[in-house]
Amino acid sequence: MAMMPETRDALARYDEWVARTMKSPDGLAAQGRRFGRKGRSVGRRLRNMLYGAFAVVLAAVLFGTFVTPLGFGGILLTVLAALCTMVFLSSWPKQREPKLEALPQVALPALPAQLESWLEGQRRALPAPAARDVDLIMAQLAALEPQLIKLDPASPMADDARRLMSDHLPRLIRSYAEVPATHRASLEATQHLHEGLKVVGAELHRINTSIARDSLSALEVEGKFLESRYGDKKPGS
Amino acid sequence: MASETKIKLEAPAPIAPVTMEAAAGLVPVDAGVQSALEAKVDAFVANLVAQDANSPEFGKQVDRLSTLGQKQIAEAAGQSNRFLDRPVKAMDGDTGIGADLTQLRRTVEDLDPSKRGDLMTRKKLFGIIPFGDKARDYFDSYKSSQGHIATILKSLQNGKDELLRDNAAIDVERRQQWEAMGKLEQMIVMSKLLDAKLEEKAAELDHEDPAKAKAIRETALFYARQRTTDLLTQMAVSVQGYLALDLVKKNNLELLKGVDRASTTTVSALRTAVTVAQALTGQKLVLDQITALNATTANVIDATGTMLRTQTAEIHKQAASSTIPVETLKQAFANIYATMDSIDTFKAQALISMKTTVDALSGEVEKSKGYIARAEGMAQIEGKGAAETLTPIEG
Repeated sequence: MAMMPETRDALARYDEWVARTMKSPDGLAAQGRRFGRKGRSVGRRLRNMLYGAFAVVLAAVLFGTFVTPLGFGGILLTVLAALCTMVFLSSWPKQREPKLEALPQVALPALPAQLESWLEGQRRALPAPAARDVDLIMAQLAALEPQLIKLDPASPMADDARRLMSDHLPRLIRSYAEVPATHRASLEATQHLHEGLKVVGAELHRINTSIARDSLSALEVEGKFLESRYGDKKPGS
Repeated sequence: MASETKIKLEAPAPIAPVTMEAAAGLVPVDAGVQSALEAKVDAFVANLVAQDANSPEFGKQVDRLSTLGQKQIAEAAGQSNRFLDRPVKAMDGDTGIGADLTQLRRTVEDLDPSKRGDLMTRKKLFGIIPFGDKARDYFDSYKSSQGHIATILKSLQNGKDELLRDNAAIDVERRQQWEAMGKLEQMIVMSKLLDAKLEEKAAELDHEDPAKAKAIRETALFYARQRTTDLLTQMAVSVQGYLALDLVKKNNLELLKGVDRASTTTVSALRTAVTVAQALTGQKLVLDQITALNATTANVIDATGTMLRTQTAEIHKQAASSTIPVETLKQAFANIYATMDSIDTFKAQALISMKTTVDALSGEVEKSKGYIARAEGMAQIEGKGAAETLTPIEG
């Protein structure tokens, strides 16, 4: 039975709504990491505030002990200064959204996190169906992060990863954003973006697998070494 | 005894450059895989012929041909480049085994009885007054050297482990390279099939649709042939790298033999010294560290361990019965020198052979880099990787 056009439209609208509102598991994981990062940032700030207030009080005590007694005005001033310091440190250093131009200079192991927060900022500009692709990419970035620490920055693999993360992916998203708003929602634009993101995801997966394969080879080498060293085989046979 | 322990270490011959023609077909492709590849090629050609020669879809299919096997080439190239990265550690005289052997030689030379004059004479103060025992002094020097020798032998053992680990790594690398070469071979089979089938199709179309026949010849066939050359070039490099890895492995094995023998002959000489000291001066020369090492060395070096045991028994007999025990000791030292000399000769030969191989391979790698760069450039223009339809069969 052929579907009525109204039904088809309604279904399409429903699909879009689902894509927009429901979080995929990757999306939830990305959100979790985001909260984790935020939490760490808040923790850091709180610590800084505490240290700052303590430093002001210590300075005041030293001043009062060795130079001249503080008096009521001095204590008031100290409290004021401590408060000011805490307020200042609560928003300094400012959490900046990573700049796209700065990405190529970021050390490779830090790149996934930076890229992830940059992507987070761009997400609003992206169409709803692309959200899942972005979530997938973010999940892969998170998986890649610990692997990149082990990677020799001079290796071709590192070059590939860097190029992909600092240039190719941002370029794709930027060129999507440059499509005039009137045409951005068109099927053509979303389709191109979707395909591009899929390729990026596949490439990230390839890099991830290939680094894992290197570790696997290293493990295999150790096994073979032990076999030739202690095994029944004579060394060298 | 000298004839028994004679050691000959042979440096493997350098790897000659592999020609492009010889490279194809070295890695076998299963009949099943072959027919699967043929089916892929047939499907691709049928699809291509079905398109209008001027349509973008036709162009897209042709573009796929232009990047045919690019991933496989890059993968195989990564593998063969790694051989050049692999420093020939064992051949380096300043570090590792080379340095240990030099030290060992120096220490052994200090102990060499033939450099101490006649051990049987008594030492004389101012050349007149008899003073001390020359032989006793000589054997005392072993006590001070034993710690040093034990350290060197231990370090040689570590070096041996390095060589073994190196060989294990080479085994793994060779297996991976074999896999990469298998995929490359599949791509070669495919590109050759494409060449033949496109040629055939173009000939068929000459009458019905000359424009399409021309388009096929000028674009698709042209790319298929170009890619065949690229693939064959990389295959030649990979085969050469594969063989070169084997060369490194063989070198390592020879060096392992040499190191084993150097350790064995040294320990053997020290044992002889203990026996000779007993026979000559009646003193019991106790070399604790060496005795301990003796046991481990004999255990570890399986191949020479047995020989060492039987030999030492013989030496004991010889030294005890011989009227000239010092000669036995001198012979033991001569054995060490012979071993070390053969290692030196081996290293010199192996170095030449290695250098020739590396030079040849570097040249080939440079050549193939040009092709890879071209293929990459093409892929970047297209903004896409290799075609999904034309990939090797996994498995």
